[in-house]
Amino acid sequence: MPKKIGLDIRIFGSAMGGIGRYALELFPRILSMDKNNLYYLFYNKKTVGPFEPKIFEKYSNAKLVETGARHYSFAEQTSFLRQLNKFSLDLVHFPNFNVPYFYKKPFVTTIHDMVHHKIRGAKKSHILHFLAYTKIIENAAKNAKAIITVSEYSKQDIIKYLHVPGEKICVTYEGSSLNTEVDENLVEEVKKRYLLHRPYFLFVGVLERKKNVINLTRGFDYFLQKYKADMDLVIVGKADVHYPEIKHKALDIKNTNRLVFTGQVTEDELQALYKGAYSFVTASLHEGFGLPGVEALSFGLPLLASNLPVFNEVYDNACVYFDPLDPKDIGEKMHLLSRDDRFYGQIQEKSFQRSILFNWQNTAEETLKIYHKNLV
Amino acid sequence: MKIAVDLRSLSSGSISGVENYTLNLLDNLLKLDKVNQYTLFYNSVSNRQLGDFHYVNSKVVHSRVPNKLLNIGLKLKAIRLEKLAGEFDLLFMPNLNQYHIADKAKLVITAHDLSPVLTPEFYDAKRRLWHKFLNYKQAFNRANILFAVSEYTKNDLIKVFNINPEKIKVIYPGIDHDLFSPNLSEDQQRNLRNRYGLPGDFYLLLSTIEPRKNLKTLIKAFEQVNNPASLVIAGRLGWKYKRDFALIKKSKKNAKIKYIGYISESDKPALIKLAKALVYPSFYEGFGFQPLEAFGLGTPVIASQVTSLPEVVADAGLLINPYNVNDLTFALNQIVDNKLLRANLIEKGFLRAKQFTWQKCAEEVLQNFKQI
Repeated sequence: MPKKIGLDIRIFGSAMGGIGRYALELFPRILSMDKNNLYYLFYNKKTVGPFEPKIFEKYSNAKLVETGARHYSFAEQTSFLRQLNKFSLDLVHFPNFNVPYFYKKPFVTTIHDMVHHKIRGAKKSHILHFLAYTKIIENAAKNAKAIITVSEYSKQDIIKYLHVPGEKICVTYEGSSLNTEVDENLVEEVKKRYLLHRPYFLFVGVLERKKNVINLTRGFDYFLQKYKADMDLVIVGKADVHYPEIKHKALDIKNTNRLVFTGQVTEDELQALYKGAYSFVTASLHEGFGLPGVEALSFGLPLLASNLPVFNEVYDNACVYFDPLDPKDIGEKMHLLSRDDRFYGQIQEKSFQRSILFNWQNTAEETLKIYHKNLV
Repeated sequence: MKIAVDLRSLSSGSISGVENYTLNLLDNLLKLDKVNQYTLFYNSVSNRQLGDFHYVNSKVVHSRVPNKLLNIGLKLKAIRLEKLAGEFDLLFMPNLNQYHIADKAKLVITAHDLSPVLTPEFYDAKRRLWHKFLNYKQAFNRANILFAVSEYTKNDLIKVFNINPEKIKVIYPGIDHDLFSPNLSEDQQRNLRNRYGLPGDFYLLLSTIEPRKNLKTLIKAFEQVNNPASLVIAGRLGWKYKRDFALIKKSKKNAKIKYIGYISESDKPALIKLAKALVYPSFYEGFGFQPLEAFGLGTPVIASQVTSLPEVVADAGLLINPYNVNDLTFALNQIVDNKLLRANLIEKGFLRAKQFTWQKCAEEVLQNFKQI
């Protein structure tokens, strides 16, 4: 008898961030592997962008169900709840913690990180939003049959902040979705487009406060000043609309001409920029996983990153670590990596090795095991 | 000979085609002419200082009559410009302005474009009234010599005002080859990209946002373009721009269209240089500086095939019908995707730009002053 499994893909209706990417990589793979069960995919009719639910139509074991309920909406707690109940599903996977409060049937949920608990981020976010978030995530954690998260580090955070027993939490690493076979001509074309003639460090991420980009450019400035280095720093990612001052401050260094802010780029450009980079660098103060660094690993780039437990866990010895609060240390570590070709080569080698660990096929297999374990 | 030069058009403070023309031409003319005496006069109530004109053969005169009063005084012939500038043999107006001078004085005027007369619908009511007030026909007939910035403008002068072709001299303006050079520093380009958050590949429209500039056709054509380049629009807000912005807002490629507002003169070269192509779909131009500036920098150009533009652009750019969306779409696709075409246009552009210099322009102006 096939079981009925629900997948919440409403995330495609909002802007594609890390969670949208996660669902997009994971669910099609699961549908390809598990032909024994029947899947109900709940999508938001306001779906925008290239990630249309249509891509699931080719799977004979998948049924698309339309819902109007957005995350944090009233409809999520009422009509979406009714819809879920109507199908009497044996299990539902919510790739984000937005589980209807009164949904009492078996489900698993992915909680990527506890960043909202740790950093009360956006200055424009309202206290009521935070309360709603807290209620919803606590309820989801309590009632889930299993919680999936993306690193040991996040697991410890979830235990600490949501008071969930560790046995209930499963760690599945994420993978890189990028294509590393980039045409050399494209790399040259993109380098020309952004006027990149020198070797360059690459940072990828939204310019929000926790990314600590200001210390990163200051550290880079120190590196250039002290060691007369002939390098560039490329910063890829859109500016956070709530914090336009981050970019202004990051630009306010002596060697401002060695910085290139590309804004958001296409996937082709991103791949070319990784391919052409000298090293990937992040001075982030908090991450649940650190996907851009994992993408960099797939291109065999040596990493430079903040000395955070999560980075230690994920990047391991393919990375040189620094104190993100000390620009001098950031600069010194840039020097450490670039002064010695042999050392650079060693880290590069480790980067390739490390990258094997992270691929979406693994993630999908692990996730499917979790489904099976929780289907009774 | 005593020559008075009317600098009143500079007092507004903003730099556009006419101001650029006046400053560059004068700078070269005063360097060249060691014989005649020049009086450069302007009028403004404020303490605004104009650029440096420190030449032995010239002096600057600043009068402080309220502009409205002055214009009415001149119109009613109650006051002469000699009152402001002192006695002179020749008055040179780099752009038509209100004037009244002694009968014996010679008059030379540069005619830039006749769009206020030919296509008044492109102007708001206030400016239409001003153009009426100026009385083009009378001024152009009084002039001893008219400099036309293009053959196109010369033909308009003959057609519209029935002016004797022999007193019209076509003298092309130039561009500043130090500024608009292929060797523009990369630091400058990077700084600009970082400050404005410019996208990787982009088409550039650099002009005041007003109906004459035909942003409408560009947005529609851009929507159909099938490469990932963005569209960057720079320039101050003119009038009737709300419709254009509504079009942008509604556009399915809204996320790829970026309006960055007014760009300073000093940022202009880097902006044009960063662009994949400059687009100039204007309905009317007496003389198109921008295509030439882009040529100088090595940025390929798409321009309208109407008014003076074919004459200026010649075979160095892609000419399109400004009323035809598909025509423009085709050009937008070609100029990015067709590598051979790009290389060819860039090369021809360099050659074309070299033919337009301020020195040459000043020499021809001086030649005509001598013959008067």
